[in-house]
Amino acid sequence: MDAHEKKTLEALARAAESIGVPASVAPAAIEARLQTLETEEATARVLRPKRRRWVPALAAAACLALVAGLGVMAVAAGGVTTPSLSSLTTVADPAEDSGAEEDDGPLDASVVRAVPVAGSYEELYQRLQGAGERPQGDELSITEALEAGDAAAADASSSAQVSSAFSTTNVRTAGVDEADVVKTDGSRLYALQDNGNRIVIVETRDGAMELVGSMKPEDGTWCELFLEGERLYAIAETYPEVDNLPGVPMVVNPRTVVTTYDVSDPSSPQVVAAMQQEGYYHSARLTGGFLYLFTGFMADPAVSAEQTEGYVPSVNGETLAHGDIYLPNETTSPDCLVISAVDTKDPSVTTDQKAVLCNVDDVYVGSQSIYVYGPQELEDDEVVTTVEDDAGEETGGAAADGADGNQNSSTGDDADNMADDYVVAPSSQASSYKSDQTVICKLAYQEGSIEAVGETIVTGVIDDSFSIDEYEGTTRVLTTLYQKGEFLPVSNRVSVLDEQLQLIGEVKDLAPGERIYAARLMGDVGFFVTYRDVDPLFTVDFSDPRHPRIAGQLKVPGFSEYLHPFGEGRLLGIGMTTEPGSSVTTGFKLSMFDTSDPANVREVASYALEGTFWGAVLSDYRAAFVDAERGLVGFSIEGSDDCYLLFSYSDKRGFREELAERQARWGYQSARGVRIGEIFYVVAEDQATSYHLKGYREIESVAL
Amino acid sequence: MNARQFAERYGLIHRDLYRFALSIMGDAVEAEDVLGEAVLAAWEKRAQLRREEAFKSWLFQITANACRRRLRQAQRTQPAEDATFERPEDGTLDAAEALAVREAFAQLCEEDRLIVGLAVFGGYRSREIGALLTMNPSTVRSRRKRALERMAAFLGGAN
Repeated sequence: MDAHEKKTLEALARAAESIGVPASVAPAAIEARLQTLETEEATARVLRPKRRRWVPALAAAACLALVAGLGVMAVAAGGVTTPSLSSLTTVADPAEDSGAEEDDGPLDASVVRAVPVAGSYEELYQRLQGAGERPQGDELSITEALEAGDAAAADASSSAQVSSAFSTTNVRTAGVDEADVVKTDGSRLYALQDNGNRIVIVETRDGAMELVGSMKPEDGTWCELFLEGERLYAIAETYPEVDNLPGVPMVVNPRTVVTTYDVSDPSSPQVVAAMQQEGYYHSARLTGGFLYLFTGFMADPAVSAEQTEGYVPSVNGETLAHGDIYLPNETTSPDCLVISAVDTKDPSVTTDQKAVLCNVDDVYVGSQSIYVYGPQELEDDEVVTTVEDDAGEETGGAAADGADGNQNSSTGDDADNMADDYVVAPSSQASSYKSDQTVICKLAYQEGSIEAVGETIVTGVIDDSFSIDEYEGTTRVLTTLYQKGEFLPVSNRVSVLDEQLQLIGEVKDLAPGERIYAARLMGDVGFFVTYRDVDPLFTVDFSDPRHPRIAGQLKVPGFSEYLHPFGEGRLLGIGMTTEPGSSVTTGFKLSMFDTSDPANVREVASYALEGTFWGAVLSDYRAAFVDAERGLVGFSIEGSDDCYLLFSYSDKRGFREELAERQARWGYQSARGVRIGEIFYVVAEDQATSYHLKGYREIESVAL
Repeated sequence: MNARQFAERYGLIHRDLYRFALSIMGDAVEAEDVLGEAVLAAWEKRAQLRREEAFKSWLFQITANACRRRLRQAQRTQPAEDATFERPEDGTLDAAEALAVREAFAQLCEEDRLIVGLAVFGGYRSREIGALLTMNPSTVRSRRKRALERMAAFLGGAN
């Protein structure tokens, strides 16, 4: 949460200060009412809930409509208990036999274990009874939407998004499609509208558009969709209405439904299949002919062990087998991520389904593996990180003015480490602190089967799914270390893990006092951005995975939140401008970096939009339209107005704003820019508008 | 937990609860109704509250769901046209600012109001709000941010 958000929240609180509470809901009246009920209950001993309506100032009880989704935040009292491994049935590859609960060796080394599976529902139930509070990690874990980056195709010239005929969703991993709110097949546009109440199909021809069809969800609202050939996979989320039923669980999970349509005749889309899964919709992938659906399921520890439907998720109406539920050793969560695989040849059934008990921050899907990660809650007496040097800026807070606290003496252990400025020097005072940790659970997936292959803990917090990356059998992870419970970052770290998630190389104590805002790892070279008052853009050399090293850094004002390769030797950054020497943001910023010499990165162009503070692209990479071939960058900004912006970039002229399409009102979802041929379509709330890419003249605008 | 204990705990949070309900429902009578319903529902289910410290979150969750249910039944997806809060009685600058803030808030859709409302009146962060609303915490975070930035821009423009 930044200063802007805080200010607005405070203003809201102030605005409500003067509001008094009506007498009927004042504590005295409530007490009287409840005491009446208490007496009635004692007399009548009727334990089944009656229907009563709250009638202010009337003593007689009529009906009570039980509210839907009564939830209980409470979990069983008591500390965290980790089950003893001897009671677990290990289904995953038992290569690592870690009998001890504690880490062997220094705790900031990652520890690899097999991922245990629940031997019985009872075991899962017991685990949930010992579950801790949900970690709060808001400012601390900044992960947002899932992202794509091609781990295999390392070159910066990767243009994963753009095929020659039309643009595709900006995804995290090339070859792994992601569901989104707008899709195209090169002639039609498919878009969510109306707060998810409709998906519309728009026929296009050279910029002319015609609304030809639409679909409503059977239940709930549409979230996102996939398109493949003449098949449309529409994902909806629905909250069941819970009425006054005895024994109804307190926590009611939504259901996520994937409906498959045949859209060969867009005026009459036909449902051909449907499948469903319990939990809120997290995300989905489509690759290799299989759709992988991720949902988040929240268990209700208030139910009894017999009420398995209260704490075991179900897929297509069937409760998951306990052998399909992974219980990573390091998590204490009452929540789990449910993953199912659906064969597009038969999308009404799942070919596999698994659940991972985990506080899920986010999911990174590489071309080989799925990585589920989230905060780990520690025992109070576990010290996690020992820093031999004085890493923290104890003067509390971003040093907005005055000296930055970096101790600039040299001595990285690695003589090749050029980021000496960023390696904190040893001091006489050993300082150890509890650091946040992140659990990573890795699952192999292919051809519709999903299998956990390992789990580990890394020290620190992963910013977003670009900070974790799979490449040639290694997994690279960038983390920011925070002192537990504090909001100020202490330092940052690059870790390289092998296929079994063993730590094989790392660079620690980078950029003290700053946190990671953006990363892009492209094979042997990676870039990441940290920030406190100046933005170092670091270059990491991964060519020797056992010895990752900082190859260079560039300091520029402001910071990037999203990095995208932009053709040969160029890296695009979308982020924020800031007041000089502080972290107070003042607007949007586009940057172009010359990365042709990774050790000497330069900023060759920048463009500021002062006074603009938010756009979906800052937290959802799919909102970015990037076409390096044509030199185009598009995204929407959301402020007092919503506006879709399209920029051109060339080395000669830098960034130029070519289009600024204002929206009539605040949209439910952010707009998308889509290219078909040489026509650019802005698909927003209630309307789609087409433009020639040559000259940027508007062609047509249609209501959706 | 007996009636007196329940009422005591309720007393500690009732103002925030009511303001929260009011911010979501946009109407004082409805807010009163919904809160009353929620309290009764909570009382009925009080045995399921395992830890008394969780009373506040529990009651906020019940209230949020009661609001949601009420709004869905009424099929109201847009905020009420009237101001969401009572009009200030004086013409001071503070009151004018308060009115502007309330108007800005009223522009948000139901889900955003739930998220921001829980943040303001419950003091919850994204993960807690995600649990209370059974929503993806990442979605909560970005929607809250967007809603607050929009409000800030709206207020900035109004000045």
